[in-house]
Amino acid sequence: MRSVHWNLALGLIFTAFALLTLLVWIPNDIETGIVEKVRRRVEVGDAMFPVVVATALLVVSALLAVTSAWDMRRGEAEDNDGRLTLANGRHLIWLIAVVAISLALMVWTGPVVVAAFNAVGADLGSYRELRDTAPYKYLGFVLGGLFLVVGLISAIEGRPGLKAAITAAGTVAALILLYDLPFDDLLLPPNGDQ
Amino acid sequence: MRHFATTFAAVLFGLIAYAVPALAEWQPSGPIKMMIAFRAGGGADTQARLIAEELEARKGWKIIPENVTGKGGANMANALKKEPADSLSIGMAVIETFVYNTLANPKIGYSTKDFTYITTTAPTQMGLVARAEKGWKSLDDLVAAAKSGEKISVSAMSPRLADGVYMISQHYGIDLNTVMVRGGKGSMNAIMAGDVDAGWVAGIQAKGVQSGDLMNLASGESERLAMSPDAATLSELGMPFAFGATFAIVGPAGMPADARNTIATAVAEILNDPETKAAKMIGKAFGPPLVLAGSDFDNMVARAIEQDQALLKATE
Repeated sequence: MRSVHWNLALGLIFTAFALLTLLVWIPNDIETGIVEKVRRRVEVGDAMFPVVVATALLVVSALLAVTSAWDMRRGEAEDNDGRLTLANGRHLIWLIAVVAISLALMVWTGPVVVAAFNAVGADLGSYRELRDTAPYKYLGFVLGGLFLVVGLISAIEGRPGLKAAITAAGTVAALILLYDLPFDDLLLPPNGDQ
Repeated sequence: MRHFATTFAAVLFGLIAYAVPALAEWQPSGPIKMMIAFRAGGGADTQARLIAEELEARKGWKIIPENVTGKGGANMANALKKEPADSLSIGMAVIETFVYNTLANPKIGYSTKDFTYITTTAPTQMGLVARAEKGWKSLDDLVAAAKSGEKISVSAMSPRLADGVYMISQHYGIDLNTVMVRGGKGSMNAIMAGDVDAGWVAGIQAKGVQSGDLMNLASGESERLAMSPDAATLSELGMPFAFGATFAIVGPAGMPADARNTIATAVAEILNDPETKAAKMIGKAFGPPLVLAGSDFDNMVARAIEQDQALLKATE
């Protein structure tokens, strides 16, 4: 498929998505409007920011679709960029998987480890109760962080390597040193949401 | 032998009597997240952090303050409502957040019943304040200026206080332009900079009033302000409402009673000790701490609901 076809398809797909967001998703999911009038005062509603973002997406997508269609019509499409290949798809899926698995590890490692200890007889309580207690509070952040950095570096370089692992360990350690150790009142992700 | 037995029984009874309350006192099973509804550095934030610090020192609890700001406390209230009622999440806001805001805006996302009311901490010293150089000595002077054609702007830091401005304008038949600002500090800054002609301030005007730079034109509380005994209350001026706020610590609905009582008692001990930083800060900014817990606090919320319903009706 020529690049102009891809651009037209992307433009149409995201135009449809933006319209769906504006006309169906936002009205059904957000109770307040773009602005709301409460007691004689007009205030910014919860829908304001999503509407602005969806509108911007709509404009950009529609422009892409229209200009691509125009180029197709005039036969001026270049065939040297923007093509989707199997390798592109693999790379994209790899990146999405790395981020998704990293987040899952970050959120679930601590609770799962604590539940496992409790299952074999330890009386640790819930992970929520241990979210500020070492070593439990580091489990998700360390494992999820290591996987994220190693995974992304490996995706870019095309292969896993020791250098990536060392970089990941250094990055995670640095973040813990920077944000956790000096501040008594800060919780590492995802512990604030547990 | 009988003497020994009596002594032994007395000692045993004493030990049990001592041990039972000690064992019975609730202890948090983990760190407590204290969600603060207003921005860092303000009155609510400062007192919450000082109370947290003292709770940690006195009780050995771990308290993690976190500012969840926006929409007059509604963002914090919505977040707190979703937390488990395991007493590991509490919040600091003002009663207005849970009462007036829910009555005035049904779409706000939470209701008064979504919370456990643990304890109040401090009242305000709400006054309608103007710079002394305006030459106004009372609310009557502001009204006279408005009636003579001067355009008057008044700052308010919450929707309820905006209703207060509206009520004054309706009562006197004058036009007042309400300017919404962020927090009491924002109101104070707007007054000092001359951005507004007058504004609500919750207690931090005391220093300026004392130095003669600021005037309390009227008291927004149900009683006259200690710092300005000459300033009439709105009730005395024929408007039967008070606009003072009360800072409070709350939790999600369904918190266990022992946790609620233990936290309330611990906070009361801190605020009733005049040597604590929290009590000193509150005394300086808002006057003596106001500590109401249990059914007293529940009754206060019930009264606030009645009063705010009446206020909303009067300012429709």
